[in-house]
Amino acid sequence: MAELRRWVGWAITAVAAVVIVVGLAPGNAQPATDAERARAIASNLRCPFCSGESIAEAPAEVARDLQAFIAEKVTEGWSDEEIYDYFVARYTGRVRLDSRFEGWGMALWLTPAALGLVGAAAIVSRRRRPVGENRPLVAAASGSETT
Amino acid sequence: MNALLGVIAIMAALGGSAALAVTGWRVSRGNRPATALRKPVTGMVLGAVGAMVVLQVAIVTDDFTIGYVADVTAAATPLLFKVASAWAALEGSIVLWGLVLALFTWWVGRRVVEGDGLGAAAMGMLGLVGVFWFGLMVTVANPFAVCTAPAAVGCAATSWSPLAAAVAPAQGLGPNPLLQNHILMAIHPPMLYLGYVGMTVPYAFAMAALLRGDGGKVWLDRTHRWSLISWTFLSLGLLLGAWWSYEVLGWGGYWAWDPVENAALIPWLVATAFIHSAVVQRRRGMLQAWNFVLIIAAFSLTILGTFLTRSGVIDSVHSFTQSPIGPALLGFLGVVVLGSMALLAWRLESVASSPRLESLASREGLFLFNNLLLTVFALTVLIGTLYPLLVEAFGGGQLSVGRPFFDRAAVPLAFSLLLVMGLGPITPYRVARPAVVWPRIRTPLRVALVAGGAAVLVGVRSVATVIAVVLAAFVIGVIARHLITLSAARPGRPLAAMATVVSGDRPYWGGQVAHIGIALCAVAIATSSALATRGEVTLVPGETGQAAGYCVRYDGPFTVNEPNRVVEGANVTLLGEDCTTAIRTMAPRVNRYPNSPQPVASPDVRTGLVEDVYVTLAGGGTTELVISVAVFPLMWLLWAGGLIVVAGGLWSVSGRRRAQRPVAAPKVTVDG
Repeated sequence: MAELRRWVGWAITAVAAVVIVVGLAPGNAQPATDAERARAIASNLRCPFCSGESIAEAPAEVARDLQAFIAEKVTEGWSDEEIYDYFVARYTGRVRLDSRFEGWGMALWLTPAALGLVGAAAIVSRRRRPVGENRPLVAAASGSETT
Repeated sequence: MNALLGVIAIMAALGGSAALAVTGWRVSRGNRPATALRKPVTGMVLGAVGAMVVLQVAIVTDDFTIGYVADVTAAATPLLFKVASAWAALEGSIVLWGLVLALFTWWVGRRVVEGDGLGAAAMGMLGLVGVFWFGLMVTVANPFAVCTAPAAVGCAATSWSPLAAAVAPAQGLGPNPLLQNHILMAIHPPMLYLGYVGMTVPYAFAMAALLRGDGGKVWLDRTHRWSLISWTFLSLGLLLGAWWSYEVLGWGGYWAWDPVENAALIPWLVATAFIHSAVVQRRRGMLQAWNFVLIIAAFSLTILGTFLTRSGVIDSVHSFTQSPIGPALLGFLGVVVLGSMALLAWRLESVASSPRLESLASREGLFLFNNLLLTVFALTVLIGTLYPLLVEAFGGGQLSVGRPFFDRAAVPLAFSLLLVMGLGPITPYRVARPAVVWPRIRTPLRVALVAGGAAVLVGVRSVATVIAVVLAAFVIGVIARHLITLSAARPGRPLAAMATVVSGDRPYWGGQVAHIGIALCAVAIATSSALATRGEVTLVPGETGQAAGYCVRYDGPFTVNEPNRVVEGANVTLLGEDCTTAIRTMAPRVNRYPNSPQPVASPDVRTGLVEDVYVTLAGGGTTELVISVAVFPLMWLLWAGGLIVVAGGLWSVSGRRRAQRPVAAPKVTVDG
């Protein structure tokens, strides 16, 4: 009986894993609609006349006008880059919120990774005991659970 | 009159703080009895309370001879928002800061008895911090500066002297429309300040311990509750802020990675790292120097946050020198960081060397990874926030760092944190062997996979959302399994046994409750951002249109004249997809305030178990109206999760008090 329950448990787990893998397989992704594309572009552009929010998020009427403008250009068939370039030409590089991996942006993206590596190295080096230090304590990896 | 009284009150608080700084140190050296602390503390508290009372009286009675009052409130402002406008701008918010600091100092002082050198020195440190804040109020950020030249509305010029000839403008400017649009704006700042200022107490004890050459864990033991309480208030402050922006800003967002939001998130992340690493030191004696670093960082970041949000530096590096506040805060920040780190370096010998980590696969090892992740998270947000300023300062031109960077950096860090959070409770201290861990992990892993599979089956196709669901289910599964195992070993009915377990070790179980809350928030954030749908319809009265899977009928406009604003709204009926069954009537509005050309949208939200329907007025002409409908799944889970985090914090704090009050030791003289 216990054996059966074990098997059922594993079977459910396996089915769940298969469902996740099949359901999320890359082929299932649907292409973005025009509205989704327009929204993605708007959220990557800072609203030039608002207080720092993106065009998609700023609670100002000018932001709505710019959203409508972007949606119009998307339906007209402009590419994402063309729309970004249009905004940069008008309002300088400050309108781009998406910090691309180039120039100054490179240092920005690399910093968290570098910090993580340095920190991880520090942790790992803490573990290594210099020769001759105290003998390791008896490992208390007992089965009893504590809080 | 109010100006004079206010300045006198601030002077009293400043004098009390200065006296406390000196007396605290002398008491700690044994040169004065502990009772000598009472008078300075009384002066500080009476002064701080007096300053807030005078400010409130001035605001409520529309005393526009005071420049600050004329600029933040108007005669027509409703009472609640008048009271709240006391902390609506820099000068007033520092009064609130000083008040909280004085009250906390008084509370700490109640437990400082004769012979408690550490406590007395910490009181001295609190006095020193008080000197800065109250000093700021009498110099560059005087909330009681007298208006000498009125503008059309509000005040054009002020004088520091309370005796200067005061001219009251006919009308006050009134609070920023966004700040008088929702009740949460009255509660959110004080909660955040309770958290911010609360961090001063563990910092003061840490510095006091270093000054006295005691690098042990006494300061941690004594400030354990303070850290938890401040962290809980910071969490509540963040939650209320997120809630406010969801209810007010009109685009359905709750987090925009705005510098002001980041300024509150960074100290929260560091404080979270601190309460975890404090556990490691208290349990295993490790991370002693690191805990000093973290509390110095947490305290410094509260000042940095104030600097970033109040000095104008965020708009441009070149604007912050226009007000002397910026340099003053930056100077204080420099003194705190350099002074504290120098003190730590000087006393590093007294900070006992930590026992080394035996194995990375252990509870301590996971705590270290938790600290690494939280610290990298905090630094990443900090760098992202400061980066435009740094680039501009180094001549790199103007650039922006926004949601795309923060989201992409935060998601992997958040997922790693959830994983570590799930693994923590099942991993023993010292060394974790697979044979011990596997039986504990097996069931939660299955639960996690089944939850992920269920998410896919109900139609979720976003990879990040499914990962979040799997990890959150794992975290909750681990905690549930632990609770069930421990309570099964107890006699009595299962629920009663569980209650006994959870009330037993409250600091631990409070932490686990908070973890459950964080896991629920993670699910809510992942689903509401990835699965949101939006739509817009343009309608004339009586017309019905479809948007975001719902039907809306525009029933007609309405206008309400309120004393402080004009409300223009629309009666809208929300219908099911078939456009026949009415779900409920809604009234999204636009509020127009006389002091702002920008109207403030006031969305109407229907909260449901599955999803929120968020209806906003997006514009329109004379008869037709653009109605925007957004659907956010599982939004309630975010607020519920946040409240559970706060409840967990409170549960931890409510734990049995350890022997915090030091026993008055007999004086021992050491010769030679």
